[in-house]
Amino acid sequence: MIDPAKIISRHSWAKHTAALLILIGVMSLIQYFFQLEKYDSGYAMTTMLLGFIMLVAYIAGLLVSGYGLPKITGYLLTGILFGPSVFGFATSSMVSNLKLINGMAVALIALTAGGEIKLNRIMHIRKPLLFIVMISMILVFAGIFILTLLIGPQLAFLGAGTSFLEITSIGLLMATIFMASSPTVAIAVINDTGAKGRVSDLILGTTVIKDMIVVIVFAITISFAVVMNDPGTKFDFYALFEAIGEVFLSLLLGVFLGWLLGLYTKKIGLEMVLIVLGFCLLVAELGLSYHLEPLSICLAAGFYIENFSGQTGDELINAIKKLSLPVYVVFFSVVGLGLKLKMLTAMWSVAFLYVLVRGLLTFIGTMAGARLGKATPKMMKYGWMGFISQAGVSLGLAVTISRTFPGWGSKLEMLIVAVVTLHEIVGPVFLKYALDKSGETHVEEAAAES
Amino acid sequence: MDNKLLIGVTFIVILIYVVHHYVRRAHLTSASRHLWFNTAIFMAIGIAIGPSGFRLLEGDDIRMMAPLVDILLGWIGWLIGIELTRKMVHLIPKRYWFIGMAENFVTLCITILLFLGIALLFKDLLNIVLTPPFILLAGLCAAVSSPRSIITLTRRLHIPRDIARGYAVVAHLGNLGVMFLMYLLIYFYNWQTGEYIIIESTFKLVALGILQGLTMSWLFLYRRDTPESMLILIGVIIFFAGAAAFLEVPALMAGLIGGGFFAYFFPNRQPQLMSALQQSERPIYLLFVTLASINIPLSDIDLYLFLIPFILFRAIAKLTSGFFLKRSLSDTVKGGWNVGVFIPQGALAIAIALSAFQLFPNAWDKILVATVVIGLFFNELLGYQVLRFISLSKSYD
Repeated sequence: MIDPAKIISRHSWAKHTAALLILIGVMSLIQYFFQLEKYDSGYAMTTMLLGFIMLVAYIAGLLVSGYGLPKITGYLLTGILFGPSVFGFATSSMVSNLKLINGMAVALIALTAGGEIKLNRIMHIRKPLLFIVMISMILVFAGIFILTLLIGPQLAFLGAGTSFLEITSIGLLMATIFMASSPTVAIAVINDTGAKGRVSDLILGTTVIKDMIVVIVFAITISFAVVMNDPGTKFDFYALFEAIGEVFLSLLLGVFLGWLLGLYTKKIGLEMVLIVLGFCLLVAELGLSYHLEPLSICLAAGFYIENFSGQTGDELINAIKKLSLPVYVVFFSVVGLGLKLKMLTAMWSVAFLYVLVRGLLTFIGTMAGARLGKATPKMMKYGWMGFISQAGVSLGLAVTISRTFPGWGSKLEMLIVAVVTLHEIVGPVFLKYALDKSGETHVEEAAAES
Repeated sequence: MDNKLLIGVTFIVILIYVVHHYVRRAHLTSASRHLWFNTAIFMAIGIAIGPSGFRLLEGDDIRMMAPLVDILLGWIGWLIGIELTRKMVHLIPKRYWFIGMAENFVTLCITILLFLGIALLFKDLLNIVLTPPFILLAGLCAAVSSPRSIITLTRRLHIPRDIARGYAVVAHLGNLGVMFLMYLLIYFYNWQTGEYIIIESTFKLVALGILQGLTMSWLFLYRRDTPESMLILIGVIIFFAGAAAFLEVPALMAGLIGGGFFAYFFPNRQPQLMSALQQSERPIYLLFVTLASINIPLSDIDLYLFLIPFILFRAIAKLTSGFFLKRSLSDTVKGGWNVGVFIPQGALAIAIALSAFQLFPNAWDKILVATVVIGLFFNELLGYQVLRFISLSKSYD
């Protein structure tokens, strides 16, 4: 671990703390004089909360970065602290109002992530990347599936029967979801630390590919699970083709939109910030209206712009990066607000077990994949730490489980949310550590700035 | 499957392409090009996504935009308030204050009189109820000018910088008076409860504005030399826009007081904050025009019946007030010709109309906001032509 004394001076620590206290003081003053707690969570309160959380999260990010932690840990912790689970500044309905912003934020983060994937750099690491994706996913899938079968009787609290078929369905679904890693966390930490190098490329590329595979595999496993739970039902090939079609259609649409955005930049090039925001809003809406995946659309668009739009691509990616900081702060603090600590405390022992086993399997899978793909020693040693984080896609799939299996689905969703919560908290810390240790971050610069 | 999203977006893409193509090929002057890209395209996008266009946003979606409108209003308030440095307040000749206020007051009075005439003569023609508060609000929207547009247009017509600056300062000072009158108009009488609440709301407004200025100064000082100062700016404005909406005071005025407090008491930090605010000025203005255009009821005949007199009366009023004050800036303006210079309008006119609607939506007719938004385009066009004519005939060189 990095010595905090080297990074954060007492003076800057005091400055950050004073700024935090001022903000909390202002909020408390307004709360005291105008008795905010009497009112419900209308849009005015939600707007206030958004501004407050944004400022506090930003300062908390600076504070924790002084201790060698990633800034997004600060954003997440702020969300958790001021959310419904702890201090309760935000009510559940405010959090759900704020989640509307997240659709747009996910699109923007994915656009940045796509823009960071450089084809020539990925081609250099294609072999280890493919081996790591393949082996770690197979290993995590098999391991989590076996673990679920082994501890089947302990999962009775989910409300499922103890029949083999039910436990098998649960095992298949959990195994699929826990294969995923979070590209949003990966890109946020990589951008935040300014990391550049093979380990960063490997982590970003792998998380993106894993995400797409998980969506397709999930369509297969959920179809099997439905058949297993209701033997009268036939295997839903349509749903499977639909899922595969959605992924490919999203990627194609992303390439088309990326081309359009590149063309706009080249031919007109005015008001880039507004155009990028409008683009993200459009993609979020397209996702909702046509059941497409905003994450995949934007990843493909960003990737196309960066790799096939020449000079204009750089201009566009720079315009996108200008928006990054506020978007990361808002996105991750809202994620923190939504993390359900109560679920975690209720299911902590099982959740911890899954986190430990998944972590171990990810480690072994990445090591094996890296060895077979002849990766560099740093990739082998630190790569796995970048695959711990989980976020949006896993939570989205958990909601689908809850809808598809009305009996035990909602309880299984809670367990998955509890595990994802833990991954969300520890994942960025591991990733930052990996990037620091592999020498791809600018620790000294960050310290000077802090 | 609902295809309106795809059709709407395709329309917008084609629209941008066609306008861009036309503007490039038509060899327009830089001012006209600026006008097309500043206002027309974004107004068209607003109309296209709203209920009069492809209905991508309607009903609840539009209501959900209310916080964004509040945030933009707060931002505009800051943009105006941040100019109020000690130097500006104390060193500007008193007669500039007088000219600014008088110019707007004369415009206000003439517009109100003309609208009252319409209300008396053609009351059966319009479906809009031309009540005195409505006419007053329309007059206030007509009275404001845009200092930024004045500077842009005068620069393009090669009018000397010091003269242009003088005009802009006068317009700025006049706008402050109008904003104050708007506040009195909205708050003298609470349209929802039927009570007079001016003292209570003034206390809330001033307290919120000062707190906003103080918070901004503390936080901005703390990270002023970093690129993240923009994030602090956004955060503070969002927070206090929410607080203003919650306390039912205009975010525009709270921003104005916050910005003024900051500029007056923390002059050392003012240039950096002002530069951060100015960086965001154009996107904010364009977003504001787009949002305000969403509700333009294109198919409503009353819009046109109200729009034409609004543009006409405003032009008459501005030219008349300019004529009366034509020699008042004679030491800075060669020949003392100020006629027509105050015709261009900016976001403040929309902000005044929207402030009233945000707080008391049932008290006013939405035609007014639509009129002000469309009027903005024509006023910029008209202002440019009048100024061009004056600068050519009176030759500043």
